[in-house]
Amino acid sequence: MDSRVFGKFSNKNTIIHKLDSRLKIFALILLMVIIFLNYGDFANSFAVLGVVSIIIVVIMLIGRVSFLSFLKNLKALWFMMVFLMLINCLIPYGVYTHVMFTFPNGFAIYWEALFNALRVGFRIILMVALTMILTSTTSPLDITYAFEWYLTPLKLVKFPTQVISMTISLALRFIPTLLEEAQRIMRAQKSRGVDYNRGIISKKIKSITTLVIPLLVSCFSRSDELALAMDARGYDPYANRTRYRTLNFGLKDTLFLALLLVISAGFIYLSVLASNFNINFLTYLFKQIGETF
Amino acid sequence: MQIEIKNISYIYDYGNKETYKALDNVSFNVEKGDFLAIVGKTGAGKSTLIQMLNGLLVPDEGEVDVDEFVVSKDKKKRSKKLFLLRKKVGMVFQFPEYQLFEETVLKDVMFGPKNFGMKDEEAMEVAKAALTSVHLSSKFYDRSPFELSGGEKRKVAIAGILASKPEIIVLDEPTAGLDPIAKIDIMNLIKELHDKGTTIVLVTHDMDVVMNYATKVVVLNDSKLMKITTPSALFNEPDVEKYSLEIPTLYKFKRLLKSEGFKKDLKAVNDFDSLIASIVEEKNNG
Repeated sequence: MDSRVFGKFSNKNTIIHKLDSRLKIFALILLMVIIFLNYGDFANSFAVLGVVSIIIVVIMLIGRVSFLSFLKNLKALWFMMVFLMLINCLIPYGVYTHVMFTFPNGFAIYWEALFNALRVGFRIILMVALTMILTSTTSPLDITYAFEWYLTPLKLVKFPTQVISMTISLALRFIPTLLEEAQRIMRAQKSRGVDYNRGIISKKIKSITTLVIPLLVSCFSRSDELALAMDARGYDPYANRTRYRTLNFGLKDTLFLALLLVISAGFIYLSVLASNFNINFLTYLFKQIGETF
Repeated sequence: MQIEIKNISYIYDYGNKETYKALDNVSFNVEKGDFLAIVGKTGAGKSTLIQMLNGLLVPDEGEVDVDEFVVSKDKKKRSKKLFLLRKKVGMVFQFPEYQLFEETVLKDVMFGPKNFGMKDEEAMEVAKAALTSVHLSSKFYDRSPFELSGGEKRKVAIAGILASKPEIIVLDEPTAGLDPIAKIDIMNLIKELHDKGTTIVLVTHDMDVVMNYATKVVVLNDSKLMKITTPSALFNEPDVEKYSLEIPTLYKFKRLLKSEGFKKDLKAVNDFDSLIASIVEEKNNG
């Protein structure tokens, strides 16, 4: 277990790092919507997802996000990917017509099912990439501030947004601490003969409990201590808090927002064209090019 | 020779080309029956070093030999079953009470032996023996380890290591965070184990412990081996502070006497009884 796996924030001086965190969260949501929009048939979908991935790669390059840790992140998803692939291939839905092969008992696997699974997988990979860009270019503190800002409308109904954001920031703060703790416990249990990597499933479950129970126990004692320490320093969850850093929405943020809106409008236009008017814009595009030359 | 440490180096890689050399060409030997203390300031590489003794970490250069086992980066040299090395070398980490997880004390102590292939009845026997050796009576067997006091928890955790009958026991600051009585309790327990012939490797910041219990001491400083010697020889050195170590009370006292004009040579005086005797002697001599 490596703390880098979680797309840990790395402080670098790039324009992506400097963007307002509220804007980055908004962009994340908008780009996810673009990824999950319906673009008609598979050719269209893959073309659009390809374009989106180019955009994402460019953002990763500008933000100097490590591709290596991105690949490590993906490695953790392999089980989910295999599961998705199986479920999508074995349980066909919708109107599938192209048979890939048929089992002796008449059960058929369709090409569409495979493509569908690939599309879902592609979307998930892009989503992971987007989330990683956010977490590795924005400090946890800034993310919490942004969350709190988005929650402000709830203040009208007396919702304690500050409490929520304090909880989130504490949770984020303790992720590395708990990882370290987990490593320490694993070392101790390994010394008692636990093998976390090998063994049959029932033995593996037992090995996991040797890690989880001590970790939970120390989690609770830590949170108790933390609560006492906060009380001792006079923390009042409902008091009006001032902060050291404030979020500023500057010129570059406005420009980025404009660019973002234009791009998303474009994709939404494509989606509407494809799904409501049945226009296959890939063939349309090739036809146009063919006619020009 | 039971443990042979041959020119080991270890480098922590934090990514982004940030590295830290925790051990730099360290070699020394530990004989069977030694009580070895490893001392040095925080970050000197002590914890890294002891994790190689049971193969949790593998040195980047050099090798660690424990009897027939070899811990090395070279896959050809490395022993196939490092798992069995963990039975031979029992490791008690700092705050070992964090490793407790079972419902009852007895079950938790049985966990190690069962992992190393013992049957239930056999494991129960060795677990009971281990609990007796840490002075925990049978009324503790069915209690939850989580409701015990700090010192008792630590004893259970140590019993959990002892139950596997290791030939070498490695302890990382076993007395950290305990009250003085529990501290003496644990140290006496370790001494008993040593008297029974177990090799002890102990990491500590407490120089009084080093002076009172260790037969050999290894000084690490800035990832390098500074010295391997006996505790009395180490603390009798006039410039022992250069290793960023605290001096034990006895040696502080000896220095104070010297600076106040004490005449007798105190080099050979290494415990409080003979110190008091020599003070009385000097006083009688006028």
